[in-house]
Amino acid sequence: MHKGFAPGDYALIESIPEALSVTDNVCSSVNVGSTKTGINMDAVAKMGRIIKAAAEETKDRDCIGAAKLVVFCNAPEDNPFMAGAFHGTGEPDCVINVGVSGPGVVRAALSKAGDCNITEVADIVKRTAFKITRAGQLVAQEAAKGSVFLLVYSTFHSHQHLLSATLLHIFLRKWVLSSAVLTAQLLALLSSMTLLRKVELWLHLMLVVFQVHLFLLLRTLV
Amino acid sequence: MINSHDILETISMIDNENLDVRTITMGISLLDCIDSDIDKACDKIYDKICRYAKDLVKTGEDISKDYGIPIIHKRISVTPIALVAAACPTKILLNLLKLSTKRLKLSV
Repeated sequence: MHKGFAPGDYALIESIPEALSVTDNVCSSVNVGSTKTGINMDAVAKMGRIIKAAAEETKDRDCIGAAKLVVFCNAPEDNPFMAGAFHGTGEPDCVINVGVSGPGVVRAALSKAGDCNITEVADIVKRTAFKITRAGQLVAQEAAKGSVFLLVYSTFHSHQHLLSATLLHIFLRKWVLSSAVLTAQLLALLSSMTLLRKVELWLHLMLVVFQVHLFLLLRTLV
Repeated sequence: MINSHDILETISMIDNENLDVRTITMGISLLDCIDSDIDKACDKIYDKICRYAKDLVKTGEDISKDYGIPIIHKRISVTPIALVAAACPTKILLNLLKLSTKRLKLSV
């Protein structure tokens, strides 16, 4: 409502404090201004009172209602960050957004680089950000595949009771992750994942066979 | 090409340098749920969000378990409710919010 109020906007804004107080996981956001059109000061005045009302409605819960309410200027239409996330009108029917946190990674990369000029710093940050982003992309694509992958993975998770097998599993999956991060060749990634999991399953089977043989041998000796 | 240094570097990023996935956010358009009947609108919203996001948390947890990379939050975002509720009489806007969010217990 950065230019004015539509008929339902007042009622919607009035309902925000109660909606935030009766729900646990709901967040809300309102856009009251933009660089192009300026700030709707009526909306600003209204939202000031709404924020106070949201805090009062949840005063028995550390005023959490106000923390779940965002007032924007220049709200982007594809914002996935809470509490102001919303799905803009220009977006497709359904999208997956992944937020990756990697300040520790950038810090470590810069500390390893030692003394360098601003161009080198920019280059290190750019290369590190690329690797971090690739990890996020991999997770997003896996999430988008959803239940198809769950079916495949559940087959292999049933063997995780063996310590050695679990360690091997962790190593293999991290190797696969690195493949994705560093090459971004998804077809190659999928085929390598399948191959690695076949190897892992084969090792599980061989381990079980070995344990059976060992048991029989010990039994014979005793 | 993949080399051992790059592989170890990525493992180190996850294990030692706090690389994690903060959120997976599923954005769902509710524009096709617009209806002048408040109950129908609520039903459409409920059905659509459940259809798209019913396995979101489970999928996130399984990806996290499988790749060893922490995924902290799983959540959804939707079309601004002001647009979806524009077709309803203004006095029942609150009902739309409360009905849909209470039934879902999700972020809207």
